[in-house]
Amino acid sequence: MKEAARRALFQLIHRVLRNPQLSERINRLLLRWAPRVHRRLFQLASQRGRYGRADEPAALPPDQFSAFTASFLELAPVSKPLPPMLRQHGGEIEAGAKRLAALAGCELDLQLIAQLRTGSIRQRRSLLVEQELELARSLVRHLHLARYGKYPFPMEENLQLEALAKGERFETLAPRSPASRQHYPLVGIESIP
Amino acid sequence: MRRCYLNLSNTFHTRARTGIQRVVRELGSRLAREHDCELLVIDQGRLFLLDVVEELPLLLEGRVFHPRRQVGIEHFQQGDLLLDLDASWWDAYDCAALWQALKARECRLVKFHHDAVPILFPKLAHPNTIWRFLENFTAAVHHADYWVCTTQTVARDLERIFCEARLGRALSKVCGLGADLPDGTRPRPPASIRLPEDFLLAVGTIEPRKNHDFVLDLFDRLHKESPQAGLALVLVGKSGWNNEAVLTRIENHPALGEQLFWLEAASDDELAWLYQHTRLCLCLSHYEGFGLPAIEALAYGAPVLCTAGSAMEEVARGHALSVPLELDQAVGLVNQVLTGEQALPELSDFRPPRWDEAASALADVLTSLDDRSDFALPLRQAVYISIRPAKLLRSLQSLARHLPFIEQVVVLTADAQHAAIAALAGAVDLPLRVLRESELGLSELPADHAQRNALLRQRLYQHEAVEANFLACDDDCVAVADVERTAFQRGDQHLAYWFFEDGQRWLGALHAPTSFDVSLWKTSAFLAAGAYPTRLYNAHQPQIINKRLAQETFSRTADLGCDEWSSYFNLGKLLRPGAFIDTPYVCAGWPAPREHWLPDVAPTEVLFYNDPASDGALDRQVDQWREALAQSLASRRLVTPALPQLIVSAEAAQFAPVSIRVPAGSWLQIPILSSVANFSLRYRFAEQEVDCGEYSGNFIMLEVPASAPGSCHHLEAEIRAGEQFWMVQLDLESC
Repeated sequence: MKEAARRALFQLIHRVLRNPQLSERINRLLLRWAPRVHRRLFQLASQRGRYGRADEPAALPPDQFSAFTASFLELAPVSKPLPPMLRQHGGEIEAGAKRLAALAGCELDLQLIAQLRTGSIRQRRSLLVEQELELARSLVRHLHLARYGKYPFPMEENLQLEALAKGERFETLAPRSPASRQHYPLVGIESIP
Repeated sequence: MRRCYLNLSNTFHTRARTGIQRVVRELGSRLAREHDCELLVIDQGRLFLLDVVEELPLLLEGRVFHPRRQVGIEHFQQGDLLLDLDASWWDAYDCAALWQALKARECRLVKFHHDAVPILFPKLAHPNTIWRFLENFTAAVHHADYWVCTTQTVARDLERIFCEARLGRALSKVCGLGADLPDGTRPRPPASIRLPEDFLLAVGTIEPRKNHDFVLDLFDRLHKESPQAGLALVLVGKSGWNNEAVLTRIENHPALGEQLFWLEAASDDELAWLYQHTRLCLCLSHYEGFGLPAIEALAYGAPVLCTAGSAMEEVARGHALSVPLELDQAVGLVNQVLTGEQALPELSDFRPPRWDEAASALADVLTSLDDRSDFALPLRQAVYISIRPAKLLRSLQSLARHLPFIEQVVVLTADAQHAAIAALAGAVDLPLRVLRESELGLSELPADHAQRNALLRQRLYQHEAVEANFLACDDDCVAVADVERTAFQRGDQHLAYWFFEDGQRWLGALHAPTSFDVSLWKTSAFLAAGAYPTRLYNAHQPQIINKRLAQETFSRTADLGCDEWSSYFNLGKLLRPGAFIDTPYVCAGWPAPREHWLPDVAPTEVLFYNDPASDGALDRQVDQWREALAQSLASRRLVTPALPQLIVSAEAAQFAPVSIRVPAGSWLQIPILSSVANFSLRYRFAEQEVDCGEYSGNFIMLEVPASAPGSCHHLEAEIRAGEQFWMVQLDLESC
């Protein structure tokens, strides 16, 4: 019972924290009228909800993650068909984006994030819980970054991993996330991959 | 009339008043009220323009309101300019999609660049900030036409990032911020604390970037050294993020409340008093884009010690002391200041920059982007790179005969050829200035033909001998008809001669792509990534070039291996809206081998000939070439219902269309378009089998048998991509 209450409380907190406008208002009020309470809450939230980067698990070589993603998900390509040599010689532009990410110490799979954001997703097979949990964790983080522009809180991340382990399909994970909507499609403007 | 739109969506949503949002408020309100800029807000995916009289005050007051005037993307017109002024990386829409849509409408994007801390110092930034900033910044690197940086320091760091990512160079300008002191402050000491007479001051949010740990280390060291035992330290600033260790250190510090004080919310009056009474204001951040606290401190007359090499040192303009972030040095310098051994900079002549001035300077920068007055300066100069005296002579003689408006010629040549080229001066009735490669600092040149020529032209076009507008010529190109200046320049508009509609369809040579092909692929990929047009412009006929714009486009594409003409005109069309008139090319003799590629347009008139044979009348060569090109183009048009393509994706491979009618005996080029990186191809046609292995070409070339009309042939292809395998067929009926 206590654990259930704790989960409910944290889900509530996450809903608040995930709403940038509401969070800003609460923060400003607290900062103005009770700065010490604000600081304490911030410390608590920081300790409880420390973010992890998607590239954090050191035991995840990129090849292994790519192989897992390719076998686990079917993703629509984001790039349009081009002459092969244009793709080959134009690859320097894509490589430049990767070098920028590397400068920032970010080893995310940028193409995967683009695919998760714009393309259709279909889970090919069930998760091998014993062997693939860490790979799935990284995938869930990529999904959150694609959909919400933020890393998931540990609670959210664990809830989604549990759901995956219990057989829930990956493509239905995102809509159930407690994260608030971070991206609105631009009205009258087509998203170009 | 071109409009300037300021995106201040983040300030609208957060209603924050400090940091970037303060900059947005100060600059945005002035640019809207005094410089006729429009205020753009994007709310739940919808674009709104704020009313300056009724809605701007609400924004400045931090009120919640729903903007009234919604506009669609069609509201934005060619040449309009979007200044991305705010922290747009936090905005709840896809910035890249917005920028692409605007650029498709030939609008320009100017990125106001506050700093790149999440990339330069990722350990000082929150992981979410890093991701959001990185995504936004990467899109800006591709799409921004210009960048406005707050300091030279920030501009230098931006340049460094571009270089390290090998994505060309940013076209950046520097425009400082303001730091007006609050009106009517009445300095008074903080009521909540009792301060000793001597105290150091550090102002800024408690967060890793502000480097409070270093300040506390400095304070502890000074405290231990007896001469400064009575010295206090006052920290002013709210609690930020990732600061648990620093907060714990402050809260458990033995001198807290006696000689160490932390004011989370000092009023303007209290802050003014602190600045006026501190012995030294410590501005020792790891990094600042501008460093408003340093300017504010100096404006109040506080001596400042800032991080050496930082933007704070730059904006203090010699009025602040600086020190590297090395504790011994910092302790030594502060001790010297406190004991009077180190003289303090004179502050009486320090005048803080004002927001009015900053807004005017920014408005001037934006206005300057529209300046193309130099496009109207008359074209009268031809510029060559050449090491072939005979070919150059023939080209010069044709210019002298057919282009009467050309009054002088500049040639860049290899040092070894200088004498031979200079000797041409006596053989042609045009003043000739010959420059050596060594004069331009060129010693080692790239082996690649396209890269070598691009480098030579870049250096040559910077030279003082080259005029504002000039005709860039190839030495193997000759004029074959009388040409007037209006063929290149009409008032302040320049004609741009093109030959191919979309560089993303460029196929190049079949088995051995030339360096020109490679440069076109690189150019097309670069242009497409930034949502620029991708037309290809003729490299084998004279083109008018604007010197200033050429420097910008050469700089933007530095080290990318791009074709200089297609980069120049496609970027130029966005950077100088309305300055170019696109025109089908007017040069015969190019392409020469028409079985490899065909232009999308045929010259309707021929004014030049590329590399004509030295024997035979030019008129006859022109006629033969035109006839052959017309036949090739006509033959291509006879393929019905359309020229086929082979399309390969991760899911499927197919010919489209799957059945065609094609002239018997003709050559057929079937482009391959792929969305997968690697695949192998094997095909059979007319009893011939070709195994391409890991395919790296762009098309299949077939000679359709010269059989009777109505006879059928089949092209069978096997494609393997990863574990996928497809067999596809194209049916060809002779006609």
